[in-house]
Amino acid sequence: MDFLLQGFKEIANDPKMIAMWIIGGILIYLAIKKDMEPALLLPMGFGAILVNLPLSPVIGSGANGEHLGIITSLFKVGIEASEAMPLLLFIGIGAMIDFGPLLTNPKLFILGGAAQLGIFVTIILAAMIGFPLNDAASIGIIGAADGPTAILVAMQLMSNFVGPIMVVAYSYMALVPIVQPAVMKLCTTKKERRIRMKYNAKSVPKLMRILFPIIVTVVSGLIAPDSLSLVGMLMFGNLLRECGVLGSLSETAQTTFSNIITLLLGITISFQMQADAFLSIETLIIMALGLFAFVFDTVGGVMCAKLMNLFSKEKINPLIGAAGISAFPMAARVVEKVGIKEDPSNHLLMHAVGANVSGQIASAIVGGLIIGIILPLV
Amino acid sequence: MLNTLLSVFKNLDPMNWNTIKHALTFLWQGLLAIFVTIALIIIVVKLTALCIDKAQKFSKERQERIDAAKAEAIAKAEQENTQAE
Repeated sequence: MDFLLQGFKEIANDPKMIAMWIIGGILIYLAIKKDMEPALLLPMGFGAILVNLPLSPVIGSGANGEHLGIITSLFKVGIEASEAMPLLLFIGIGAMIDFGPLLTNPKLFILGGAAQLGIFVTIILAAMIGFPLNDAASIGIIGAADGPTAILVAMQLMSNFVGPIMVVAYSYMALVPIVQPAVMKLCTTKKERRIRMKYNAKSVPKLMRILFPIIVTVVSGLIAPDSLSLVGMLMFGNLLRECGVLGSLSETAQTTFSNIITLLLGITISFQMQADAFLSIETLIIMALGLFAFVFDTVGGVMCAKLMNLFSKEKINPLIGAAGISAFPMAARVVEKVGIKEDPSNHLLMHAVGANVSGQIASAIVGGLIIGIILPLV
Repeated sequence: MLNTLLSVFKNLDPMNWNTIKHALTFLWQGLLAIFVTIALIIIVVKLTALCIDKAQKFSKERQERIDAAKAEAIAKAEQENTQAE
């Protein structure tokens, strides 16, 4: 009868697993009850339980006659070998994005760049705390507010904390509506939050919409070649959307394709949530640093908008700057909500969407830049 | 004191000046690179938009000229017909 008790004995030897079940339970609770990024947090939460059951065959290494587990296999093929999953997800994201609001007002692009400040400030803080350069950069990229970018950078830089970084990146993306409003209010005055912006709803020529993804790919490829895999996939997805002759492919990329990749990515990430690697004091520090990165991203975007106001005739509502972080489209919605709270007739959504989509491009470029700068030093 | 506090984290090497120096370099290098990229994208986008706008205007003007010439020809033909009658 010993075989019936084997699992219980293993748990008694390694009670850390129970802590991971609790973490998995919390992720599932947040996904279902609080509707926080359910498409990712639910598979990750369930995966956290699945991989932390004693003798779980899903994480078998395949070495020394051991069975190769399905999650190990998915991780090795889909993430470790080629980072295919996060990259393919970018095709879907690109197909979902309408760059029209950004093309109507291209200077909003600057806000997307400024809202990446948190990434670099967090790298410095993580380095001061004592993380090696590759880990510090991987932690900093949580501030990209973009799960696939965080996964790609952490994997390419061979970070020791891929699991915590993935979980923290997706969890904080879900927490944008809680984190950002407080920071936005702290950085702006009531008068600034009430600034009205004219929205010139001129239609963007189709040719411009088609050329834009190609322009972005070529320019970022020339300056930051390492960002090409991310930016290229994002822009390929967008070209599918805008070309006008691949309607069904574009729709598939936006819906079925994205859903399949998200589903697989969520459960595959759980490979990195094995108790031994996940439960450490460093995970708690990474959580704190992730929050720091999000806060400084928001500060960077808002302050840049204020700075732009010093030089431009048409004032920008600084709240728009906060949408420069890439969490798309949540950050834009948060800006609209905060703006409406100050002045119910002041709609900032279209401007915020412009800054938000620019943040999506900027975060992918920064991801590539970080890989390019740091990989040779690792 | 910070070193002592942070040494509880066994895998970390706090206040390693070499790492911090690298991180500080990334700050300016990264921000410079991202803003240069963005500036270039804005310039190319604005130039492209300008070219598309000019091309559309030119094409519209040409079409208007063609239409006007056609209308003029039709009017002339009608006038000639009327005179012949």
